[in-house]
Amino acid sequence: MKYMTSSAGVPGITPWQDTWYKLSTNHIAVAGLLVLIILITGAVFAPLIVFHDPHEQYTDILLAPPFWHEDSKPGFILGTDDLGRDIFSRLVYGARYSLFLGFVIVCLSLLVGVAVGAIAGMKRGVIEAVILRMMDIMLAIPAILFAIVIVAILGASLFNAALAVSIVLLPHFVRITRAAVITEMSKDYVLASKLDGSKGWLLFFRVLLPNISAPLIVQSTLSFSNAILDIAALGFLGLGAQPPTPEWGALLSASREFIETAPWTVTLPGLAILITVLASNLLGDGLRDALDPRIDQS
Amino acid sequence: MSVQLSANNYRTPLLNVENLSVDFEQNGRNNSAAESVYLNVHAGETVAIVGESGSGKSATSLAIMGLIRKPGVLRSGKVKLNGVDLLALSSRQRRRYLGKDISMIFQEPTVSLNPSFTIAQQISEALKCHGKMTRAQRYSRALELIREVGITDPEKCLQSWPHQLSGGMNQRVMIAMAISCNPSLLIADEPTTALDVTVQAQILNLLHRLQQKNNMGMIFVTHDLSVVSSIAHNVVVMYAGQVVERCSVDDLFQCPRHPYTEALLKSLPAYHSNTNKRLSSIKGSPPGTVESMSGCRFYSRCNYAKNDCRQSTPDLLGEPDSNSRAVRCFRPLKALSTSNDRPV
Amino acid sequence: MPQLLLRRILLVIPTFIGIVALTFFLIRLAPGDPILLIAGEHGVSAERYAELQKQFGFDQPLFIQFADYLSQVLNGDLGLSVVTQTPVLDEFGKLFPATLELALIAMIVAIAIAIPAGVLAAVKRNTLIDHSITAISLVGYSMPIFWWALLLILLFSVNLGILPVAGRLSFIYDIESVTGFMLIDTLLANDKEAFIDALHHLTLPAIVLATIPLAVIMRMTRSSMLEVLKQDYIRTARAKGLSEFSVIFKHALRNALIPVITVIGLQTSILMTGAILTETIFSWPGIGKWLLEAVYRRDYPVVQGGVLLIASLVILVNMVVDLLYVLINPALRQK
Repeated sequence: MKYMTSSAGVPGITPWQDTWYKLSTNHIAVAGLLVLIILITGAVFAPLIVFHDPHEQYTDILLAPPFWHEDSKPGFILGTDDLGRDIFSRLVYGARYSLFLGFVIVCLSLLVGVAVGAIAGMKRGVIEAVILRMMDIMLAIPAILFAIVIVAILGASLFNAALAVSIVLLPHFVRITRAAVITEMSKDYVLASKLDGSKGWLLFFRVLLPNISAPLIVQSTLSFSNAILDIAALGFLGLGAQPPTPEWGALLSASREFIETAPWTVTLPGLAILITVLASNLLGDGLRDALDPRIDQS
Repeated sequence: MSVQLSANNYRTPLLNVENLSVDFEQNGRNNSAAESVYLNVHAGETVAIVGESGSGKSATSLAIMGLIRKPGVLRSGKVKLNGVDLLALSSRQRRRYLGKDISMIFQEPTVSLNPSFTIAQQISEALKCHGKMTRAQRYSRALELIREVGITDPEKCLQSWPHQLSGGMNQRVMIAMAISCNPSLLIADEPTTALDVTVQAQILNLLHRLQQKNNMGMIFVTHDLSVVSSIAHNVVVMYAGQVVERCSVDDLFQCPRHPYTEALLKSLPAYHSNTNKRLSSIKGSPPGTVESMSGCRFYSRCNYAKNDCRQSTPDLLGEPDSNSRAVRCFRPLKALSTSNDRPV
Repeated sequence: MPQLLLRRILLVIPTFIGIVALTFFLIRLAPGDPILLIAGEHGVSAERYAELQKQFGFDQPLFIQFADYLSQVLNGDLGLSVVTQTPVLDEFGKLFPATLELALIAMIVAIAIAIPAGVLAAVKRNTLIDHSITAISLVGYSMPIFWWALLLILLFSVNLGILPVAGRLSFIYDIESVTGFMLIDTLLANDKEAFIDALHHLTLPAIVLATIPLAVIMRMTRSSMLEVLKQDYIRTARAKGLSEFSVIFKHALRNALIPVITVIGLQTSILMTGAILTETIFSWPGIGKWLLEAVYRRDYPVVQGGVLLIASLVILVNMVVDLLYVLINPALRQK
């Protein structure tokens, strides 16, 4: 409604400030952002936070329970695993893998996806049809299965798993970019830029990209959570990070056999995954609401 | 007309709206959409509610139907249809009247029909809801109704989906649906606004004819004064949620008493048909929210405003429980003035 | 409409050929000798190598090889499993009912809960009910289901001891496989105890597999209902004097379901991803577990054939959903 307080359209306020304003009024999205910031800070400053080396084995303290348990060992707030390693340290170091890999995977997928999508959207014709068909094919193979197959061919390693996941996430970026480019290309300001002599990649980067960035940002946030889930799933299946790497999925997989004797070795890594994924999904939803002009001023 | 009007005053009205107020809640604040509206409609009579968008005319008509939904809130009011206060009923009891004794047509016919059902389904649903008819009876009644509203090839129309028909056709269908149970009151909320001018006239004629034939009471909501002259008997002018003037249609055009009514008339092209004067427009725009306003709501746009207009709020003077003339102004206009220099 | 149908069906053909090509090149992309890969880790003698080379046509040009492969696929020949030496298609056919049973039950559970819950959330917008349903949907959507499976095992099997952790049926029952659906087969065998046992085995995997579709469908139903409830025709329906039940479940839901059905269709792919994880954790003898084991064993013909079959299934389901979308949407149907 017109008398609602909204910063949209107020002179002197950039679209980004407007987005930030809307995002900051969405408490749930802000909570997600805060959790992510805490997790990233924890991952970056991991050595300063933890008391133990994540690989050090305290052979006299095997499978110690977490602090709320009466048998817990001082100094090991979340207990130890079957080899006597501090679970808290392993989880904090594990955040490095999940968050960093998630970031790298999304960047890779975004870069390639935007380039391919832009070509499809600007060139149209046969090239577009071929690209779209290829994306259909990739989407027809279930994500984890596709990643598993790629890993199976390239060999099981964290690097290959990350590569596989970024390939799996690719089609979404391609489709979104293409659709957005086609929509924008039909608008007058693009025509004006064309008449001004802009063409090719210059036109794309200078004129189109700033105007199609909103859906790409939203997709990136949501892909980030998917990437973390997929990497963890591959780790869990033994196709991603290999022991003793403290990646969360691999931690879960290694502690499966202790589910009866030391359930916390199973619950904690999974909780870490859930919290991270939930936080980035909340942020992604908030960004979508803030960036989507369609539901503006509802 | 004025004779009929005074005669009406002694009859029990078909619809009697008293002190109807509707608010809209926004960010924890209440914005008044319609404030203390009084309204009477007699059988066979058309009352037009006239006003700009946001004047509260749609909120009033939806409130009469009990169709105010969040963020709208019904604050107070009685809506007596043949003596029964609809708003005092439970929603289950009220539903027995909706679509049967009182029905409504809307501004955008095409989006007011459900895209997933055929015309036949939608018309027969109204019949099914309020009566005991067999399937075949409902179909033949639907056919009859479709013919009644002047659609050629009624069979084909009944089999159609709303998206296959034009806006004018869809409005005819809406009318057929609304009159399916022979309502005593029809509320038409800007029924012609979204239609082409040529179609507008057809729909107006149709409504007029049906009203005469069935002796229906009708509330005709519009922002278009030129439509009012051809269909209404009495007029209620609303501004910023309040009724500012109430009169017969003849009085409206011959001697408007509220400055807002006068300003509306002056912005009509037909009104100036004999002169070469420029069409006048009303300066400014209606207040968005009236919460913190004191004084007359038309104050800032009024050509005749004095200091006291800002300080205290004028009441609707006249008899609030009848359709006789009433005006909400400290210094109502005496006679029509075409210039701004009028005696105070 | 027939044109639209035809167009949609024709579009599937290049996608299918693309998938065949992808699975064909899969093995050739892998580092190392494809024959050694196909032969497995045990290695082969020189004669066997030549024999295999001839058998698989690796001495032919790539294009010919692909054409041969394509014609084989179209004739239903997906090769032999390196490990068991049985045709891939037969193995798939034997294991598929187990996956289908699990996936169908999961989907039925998901839809049966998600649509009413989504409608309820939309109708009770911004109430505690709505917030709870939205929260459940968000958590479900973010859930690492392999962990969720372990949590459920921890609760229902380890702590409460009421549900089994592995397989489709306890060993004490011997049920003849007629349809491949354990629930139906036990009923056909008229063995009530076995039926309940099969149901017990199905419960946890079905819950796990239903989680993400449930969350997605719930969310979609809610937002689609909210959109529809704002429409003018809902007001018309209320003005007719229809009951609120009729307004919501007839007038609103009918329209709100159109996008929801598309989303349900898209769950096929997610279900197959889930099946791989779920079947592995619960030792469910379906194609998900079979494929993953084939990957571990480097049984390439199985991987190749399995991927091809699953991908074909996904595009088939998506095509059906697309057609359904046209059928339930009158505005599209007429064109």
